Amino acid sequence: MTEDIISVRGTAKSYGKKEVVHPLNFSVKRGEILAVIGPSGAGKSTLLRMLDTIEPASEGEIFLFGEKVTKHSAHRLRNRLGMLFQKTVLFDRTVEENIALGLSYRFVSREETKKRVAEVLESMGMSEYAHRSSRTLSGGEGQRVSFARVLVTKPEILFLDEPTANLDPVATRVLEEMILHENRVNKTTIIINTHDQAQGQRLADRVAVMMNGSFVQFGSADEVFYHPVNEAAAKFVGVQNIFTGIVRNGSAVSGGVVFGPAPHFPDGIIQIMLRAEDISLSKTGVPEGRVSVQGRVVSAERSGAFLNVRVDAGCIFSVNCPFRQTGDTYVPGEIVQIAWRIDAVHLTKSA
Amino acid sequence: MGEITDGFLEAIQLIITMNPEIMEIAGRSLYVSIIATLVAALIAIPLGALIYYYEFRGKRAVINIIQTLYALPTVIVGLLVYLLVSNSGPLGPLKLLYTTNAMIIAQVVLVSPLIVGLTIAALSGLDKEMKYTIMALNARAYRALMTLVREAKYAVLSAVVLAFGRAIAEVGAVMMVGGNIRHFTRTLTTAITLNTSMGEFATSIALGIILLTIALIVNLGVNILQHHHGRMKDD
Repeated sequence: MTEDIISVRGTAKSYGKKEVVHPLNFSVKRGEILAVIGPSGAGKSTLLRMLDTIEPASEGEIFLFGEKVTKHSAHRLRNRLGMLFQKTVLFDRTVEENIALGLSYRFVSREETKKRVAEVLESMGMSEYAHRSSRTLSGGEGQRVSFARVLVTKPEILFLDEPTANLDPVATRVLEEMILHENRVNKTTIIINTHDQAQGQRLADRVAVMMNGSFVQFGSADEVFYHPVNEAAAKFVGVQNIFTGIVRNGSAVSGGVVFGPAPHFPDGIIQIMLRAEDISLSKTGVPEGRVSVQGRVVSAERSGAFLNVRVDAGCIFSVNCPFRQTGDTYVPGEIVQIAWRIDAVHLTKSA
Repeated sequence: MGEITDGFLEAIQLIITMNPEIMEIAGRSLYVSIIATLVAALIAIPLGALIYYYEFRGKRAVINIIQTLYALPTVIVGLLVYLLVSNSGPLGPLKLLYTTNAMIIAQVVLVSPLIVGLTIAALSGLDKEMKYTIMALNARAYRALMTLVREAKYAVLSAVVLAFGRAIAEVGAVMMVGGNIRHFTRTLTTAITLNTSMGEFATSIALGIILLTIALIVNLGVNILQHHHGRMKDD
């Protein structure tokens, strides 16, 4: 059960002279969820269309279920694949007819179609929608119907191209639950594109970071979020504190601040990264086992559930405090202590 | 001035009394143009859908050529079809020259580019993701084309109605290959040409009113379709 269900070997795509996907090599195991995260225009959608065999690769090979994708095998292979797009596509028909479309293309009998459409609607709790016109659906409902249209064909691999990018947070959670359910219950292999790093973290077993047509990083969610390979990847996964520093006497230093030991780095320039959530802020003492420096508050503003405080301590730090826990407020000019655990500091070679 | 008002009154009378010859000419015009439009639609809608669906080298150029052919001069179509169906032409043995069938062929040639081009435009108005979705649902090409055309049905229908308008209003081609023969190949446009040159203004005006009325109905049809289409997009 752990064979490579998808295997990508040197696959690339060019439009004219522009290579939008540079040669990629990776594989995905049966039942796995892989999230491809990256900014718009990174080549994520093009990659998924190539994997779904609806767009030919310019270079390299793709193997699905151990079989090479060719002009001749594509149609047969595609019967076992499903793809959902960012933009909801609904045909001007009833919900039921929309969902039945893929089955009609596969010449599934009328009774069988009726049964399977009813089943999938039932499992989504949308049975009463069957005869409604697709035009009367909300954004979330529409995307769920699009998803049902894919699921009803019982795909073994699902490609999801930013499926929740146009949905509100509640509809996003509902669809995410459905995606996880499909993976858990039917062992469906899933590749999901997202520009929402948290979504990748919530859903995926492994995460690939795609930038400018290449995977800059490929690993577990924790690796990608806490150990980004470079500044660009770090910014993308939401690391707010990125400083250029040096290694001196085995320590990472920037702006006069000693961040912690840098045992594996030779003396020279490095990038120092620290997540804003991993820094604590206090007016008085310093917790045990932490690196601490004194600084002056530059600004403090609400950011969702956090208070984002900027502190000048040689470098300008961005700190996210759970202010409702402590009830603390901070004013510019105030002297404060900031502290972090040594293992929260992530170092990379300077680009 | 008197000539025009007299002609107008007489024309109204010809229409109200359903003058048999005028009705016959109007009927023939409708017959030729409706058949021609249907045949053209049958060829041109799938062709337009195919061009939209497939990516191929020179696609842009093909579309440009088709759009240029919208303005294809009717006399050139007349000449082409004349050469095709005349006794020495490749279709000569079928004895089509100076028949309504030749006129139908000419009008098919004339309006097909319009329907092909407007079908491509209609489908291009659909979301790009719709094509991808249909491909991802693994439709064979002909099923994909049917689904796409069905989604763009109002825009495609507008194209067909517009094509009918061009067919029924043209005079050059049907004159050349039909010959404007009384009781056989005379249509509204060729009859107006002839009657005007003979000074039979009343008949010309009567035929003109009928032609205008048909054009008006066609235009109304297009408007209704486009209104419907527009409303769909707003939803």
